[in-house]
Amino acid sequence: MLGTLESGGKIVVSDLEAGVGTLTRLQPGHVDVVLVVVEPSAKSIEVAGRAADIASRSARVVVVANRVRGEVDVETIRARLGDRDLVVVPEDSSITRADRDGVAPIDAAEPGAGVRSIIELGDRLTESAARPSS
Amino acid sequence: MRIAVVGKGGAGKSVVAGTLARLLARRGRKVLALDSDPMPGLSISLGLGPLTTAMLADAAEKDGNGRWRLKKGIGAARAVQRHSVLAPDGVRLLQFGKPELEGMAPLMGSLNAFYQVAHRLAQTKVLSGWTIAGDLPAGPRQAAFDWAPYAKFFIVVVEPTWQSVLSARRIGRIARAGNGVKVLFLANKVSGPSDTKVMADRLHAGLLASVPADDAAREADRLGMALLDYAPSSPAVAALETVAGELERRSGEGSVPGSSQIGDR
Repeated sequence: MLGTLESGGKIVVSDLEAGVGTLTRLQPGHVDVVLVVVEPSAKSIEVAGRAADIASRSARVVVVANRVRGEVDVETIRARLGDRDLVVVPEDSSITRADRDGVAPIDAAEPGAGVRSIIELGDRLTESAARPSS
Repeated sequence: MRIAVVGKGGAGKSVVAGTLARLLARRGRKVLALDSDPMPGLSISLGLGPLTTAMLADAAEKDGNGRWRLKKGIGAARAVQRHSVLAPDGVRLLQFGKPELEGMAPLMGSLNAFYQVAHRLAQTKVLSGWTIAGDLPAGPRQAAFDWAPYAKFFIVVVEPTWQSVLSARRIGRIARAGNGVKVLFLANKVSGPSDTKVMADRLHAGLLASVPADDAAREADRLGMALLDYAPSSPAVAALETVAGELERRSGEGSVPGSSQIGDR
């Protein structure tokens, strides 16, 4: 389905299922960017490393280091994924509260550092999409 | 006692399954840990580190129609005896494997053999006294497709988020369709009594237990270590020790005489 969507002037955001199953079926041109979301845990990093390797065959990969509490967490992720384009999203109690209350984090009364990082990532991606490809 | 651990991604299924498997082994039980999740998890939570091995690849063959099956002459007992690996506390681990860059195709023999083993376990006499702890992948799919027919208890691991609760309710509904299956909800990463109450209200069910949010568990995850090895005295381990005892009580099996408890090691 992703491969058949018209993309002129539109942005499609697709939330894929956990793991690498869907990624293995992705073909070049289906998507422009794959965001590989990773937590600072050995299991998550193991999957993210594999996902990034598979996704990079068909799209640009940005690794999103999520729920990061400090430099140790960043270094743990960089040790496996450091050569990738990496965006850090700090642990954010406003996201935790939003998840618990069943509301969108972006609608939180006082968005925290994590939400702000995701907004910046969105801005960055839309800017790069608007630039003519060389 | 035969259990399957299910839930939404990131809820902590593998940590719960791996820690419970070892705690039950320490209570004197023979324990088989079954990993039917293609993503890494159970081997790490048991303390073996990441294992990708397709353990049943040599136990599989194609039939005349080109379909994978267990080799003739290999039953569940032999598959466990020959192809499982030894984990800490004497737990045996059996997994169908983890996909590499080529995807699932190289694992299909092991995967189909694993599925058949899972379906024969409950009828295999030499394994009748064993405790089985299965770690299923995120979501309801394997529960719906009967990947854990051995299980008498489905433990649904739930985090205090709406997404996790909604997934848990759906998985619970599907698992209850199994014959004689009991569904038990385990609240994980709980920050306090208000979390517990909110989760019980939203699940419309009582909770088997509440496992507290625990920095030690997070650090064990970061390091890729078993929670039991990194922080044996942590609040999360204490809560799971209580769960192990409660499961023994509910299964009617009781504790094994002369068994060692966690403090003995």
